[in-house]
Amino acid sequence: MINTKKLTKVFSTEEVETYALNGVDINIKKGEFVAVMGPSGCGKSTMLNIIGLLDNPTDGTYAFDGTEVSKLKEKDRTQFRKGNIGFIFQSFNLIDELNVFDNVELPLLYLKMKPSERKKRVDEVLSRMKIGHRAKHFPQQLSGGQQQRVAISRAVVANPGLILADEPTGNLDTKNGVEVMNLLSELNEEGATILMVTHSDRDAGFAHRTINLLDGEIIFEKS
Amino acid sequence: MIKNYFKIALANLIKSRVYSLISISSLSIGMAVSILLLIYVADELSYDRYNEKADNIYRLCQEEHPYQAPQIAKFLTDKLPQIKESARIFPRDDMVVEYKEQKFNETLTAFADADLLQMFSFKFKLGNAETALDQFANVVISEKAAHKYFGNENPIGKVLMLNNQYEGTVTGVIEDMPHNSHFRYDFLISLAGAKNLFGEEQMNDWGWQNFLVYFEMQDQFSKSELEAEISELIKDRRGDDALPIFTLQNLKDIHLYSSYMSNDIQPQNSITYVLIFSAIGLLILLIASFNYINLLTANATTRVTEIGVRKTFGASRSQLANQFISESIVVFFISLLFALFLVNLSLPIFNSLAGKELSVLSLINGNIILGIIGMMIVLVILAGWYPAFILSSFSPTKVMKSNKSMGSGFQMKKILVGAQFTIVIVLIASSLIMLRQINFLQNKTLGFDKEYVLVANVNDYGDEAKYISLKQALIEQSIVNSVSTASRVPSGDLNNWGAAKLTEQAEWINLPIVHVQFDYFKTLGIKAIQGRLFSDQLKTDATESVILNEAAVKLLGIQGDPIGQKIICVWPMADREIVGVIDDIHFESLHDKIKPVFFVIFQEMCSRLIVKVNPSNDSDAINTLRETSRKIYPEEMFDFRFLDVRLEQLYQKDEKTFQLMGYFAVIAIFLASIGLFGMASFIMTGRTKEIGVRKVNGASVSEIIIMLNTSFVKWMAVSFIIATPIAYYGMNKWLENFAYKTTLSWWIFALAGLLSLVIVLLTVSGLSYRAARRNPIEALRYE
Repeated sequence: MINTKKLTKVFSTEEVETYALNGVDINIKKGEFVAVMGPSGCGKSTMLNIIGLLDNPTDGTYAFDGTEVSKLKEKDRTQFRKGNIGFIFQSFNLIDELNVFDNVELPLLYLKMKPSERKKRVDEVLSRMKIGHRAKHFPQQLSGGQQQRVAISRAVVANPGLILADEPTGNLDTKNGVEVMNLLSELNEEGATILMVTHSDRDAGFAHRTINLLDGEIIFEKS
Repeated sequence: MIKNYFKIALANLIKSRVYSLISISSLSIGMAVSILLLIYVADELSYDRYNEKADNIYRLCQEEHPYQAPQIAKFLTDKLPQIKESARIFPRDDMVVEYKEQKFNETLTAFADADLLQMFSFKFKLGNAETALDQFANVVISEKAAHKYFGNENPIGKVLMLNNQYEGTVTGVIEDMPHNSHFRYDFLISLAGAKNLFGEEQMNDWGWQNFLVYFEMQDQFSKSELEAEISELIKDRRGDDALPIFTLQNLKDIHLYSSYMSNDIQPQNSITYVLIFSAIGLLILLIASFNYINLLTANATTRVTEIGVRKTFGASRSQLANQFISESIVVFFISLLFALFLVNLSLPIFNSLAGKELSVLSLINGNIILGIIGMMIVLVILAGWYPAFILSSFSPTKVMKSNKSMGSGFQMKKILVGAQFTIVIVLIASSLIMLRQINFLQNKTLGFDKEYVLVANVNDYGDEAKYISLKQALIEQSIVNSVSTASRVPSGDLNNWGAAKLTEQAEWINLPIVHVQFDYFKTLGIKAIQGRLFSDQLKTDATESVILNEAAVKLLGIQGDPIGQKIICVWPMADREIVGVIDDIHFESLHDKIKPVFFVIFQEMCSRLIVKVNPSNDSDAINTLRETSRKIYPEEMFDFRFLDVRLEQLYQKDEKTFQLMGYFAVIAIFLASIGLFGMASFIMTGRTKEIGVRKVNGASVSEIIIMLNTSFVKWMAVSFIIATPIAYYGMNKWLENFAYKTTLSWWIFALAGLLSLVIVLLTVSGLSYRAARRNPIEALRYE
């Protein structure tokens, strides 16, 4: 599903060039659950951004389901992302001004789905995530675990083939963290491909395979 | 989707209360000022357009005034096929109108030709436009006058006594002339009997230039060619090469393009003021828009997450831009509602300052509504588009990072704040210069005494013996110092044009004439700089002497000592000896250049009684004068007014403009200051860490304050450099309206800059102090 060759990302300032990614080759098959680990600044988030089509690589190729996407313009990346990729963040990134329902509905709005269909889908996913009773609440009224469940609902509501998770349990206590990881495993079992950045060995244990990054390069992989 | 946008818009407005309050209040005030000025400008531009034939009506003008000899209208209409119809107005400043026991001094009175009623679109309530003024002594009155004199009675056929001299029969009642008319009269008296009233000789006198002449033109004609033809025809008719050039002025141009003329039919406005106020409206709207842009983009740092999430989940840049524009439109509409409320609230004050009668109903007018829509479109483009462009450009990857500070658009913010203060400095400098000019006008030495001098009109003024009895009676009063009478007094207009020439010269020279009686100069405190003044000891002075001002000596080309030289002058035609020369006094307003003028003694024209009273606290002086005068002239009103009050009225328009300008400058300063306050607080928050680090490393509170204030002072300096030439150019243009003016000293601009600097420092220092006083540990903990 995901196939990168010599993926490189350089951040340049007037004086220095920093290699955030340095010739990374990754292959992820459909239905796989892959964890990425490594110390701060090793390029994990940069990799996630590029794979999530939020950013372009400086060099190298990236094929998504066989389509070369490394040189797409912002407009085309947005098009490609819609409905294909779902995101989960460490800090949840819910919109404070919207309630739970509206937050989850957001990706469907941009897919220009009919209101009745949107409502059906949101209701379904919220009840599946056991957060349906909180649909009218605002993010600040929820616990961290609940907020992450809303964020996961938002990530999956459009049925994307790929879910990208950036330290999804980083801001949660152990109990809520385990619950979130169980949810991700369930989604994976139902067919979603998951790429997760994490610092936690426990979380990595839920994945089929772990890639370790250091200074923008893959130092080893473990299945 | 739209619902989602509005939800977010409202939620954001509530979340950022302070910034919403600043944005909405400054937009509301800015819009309110713009709407007020829009109504004002639309009103100014609407003058005389109610006349259906406005495109074809022209007024005949000379170089400096619009007044013509009585016979010129017929003479030109007969000769020139381009002219369809003509009509004349002979304005009378004062007329005593009497009906039964009611008697008032009316100021809105004029004689007019019958054709005037068909040329102009007056609305007849009673009577017929075609016949109302075709007979001698017919009078058409306004509805206001009809109510005043006749109440609910039918005025048609009623007889009014005019100036105690002749009877006029009411033949028509018209709706009050609209306020946006370049002349407004309550009484129009037929000119059909002018020969009976003024005498045939006078009605054929080319020198008696007191009539306004209007022509209705054919649809197609060349204005410049016709003007040349008119000047040529009159020159031929009068056999005089030195005649002025005649011009034609379209009816729609009279109100705003007559400022070069002295003493127009009623005080007109100038296009300069209309442009000044249009510019102010636009500038204040700009300041408010810049506040909005700056606060919105600055506040956007709090929306990075939202923007990032929306982009991550599929929002395109144009969708986000649309969202932000929709949000701006919500804010603009809320502001518009407040603005309309403010307009309603401030309209009475604005009216009193601008001398207008505008109502909120003026808003329900196609042009005004279009103007408001236009204003909203300008705002959406100006203040909606830029933030939408900036905000929608935020990269979604920023959402992944913990550092969410935004540098985007910072240069633009500086430019906008700089632009606001440029506008503020221009307005402060302009207000200071206006204030200085108004002071100059009020304090300039005019060349005569303006204090303790009272003037009243006399309608029955030809009888010299009667006047002498009056003078005697007044002089006997202890409060009276001196008495005289004349056709014109300073503060009035020199619109009686006569002609004179040195005996040996061939060509007549036109110049204003003032008819006076003995003691005129003494009463006004005017001294002779050469020769002497008129003396009642020398009876020949009344018929054989003339006094000139210095400008007249020059104009007539008098060489050597003027005293004793002979000139021939008209009105009445006589050979006269120059017995004295007076200084060039400022007879008319300081808008006008001093005119050459000659003074002769001639009771028949002396309709203004002038009394100098002794300085005292006698508040009853006016009553004493009136009672004494009425003993001799029982029919007269004797509405005495102080000369200095009359003089102040000459500058009322300038003063009101200055006051308005002052208010607008204060509003602009207020708006720019709250915008600056908002911006400064954002900047200080952004520099919290820097301040903390500096303090940890030993910076003192005062050093931090100086550091923070320095960046604002730098913007100010740039604004000052840009603003000074703009203000200089604008004020130079404004001062061109005055023949006599103050100087544009450098210190005025420096003072404007200094005042703006003080405003900036007052605005930001409080914030700087607070930021500098914070415990550095507290500041660094946030990071």
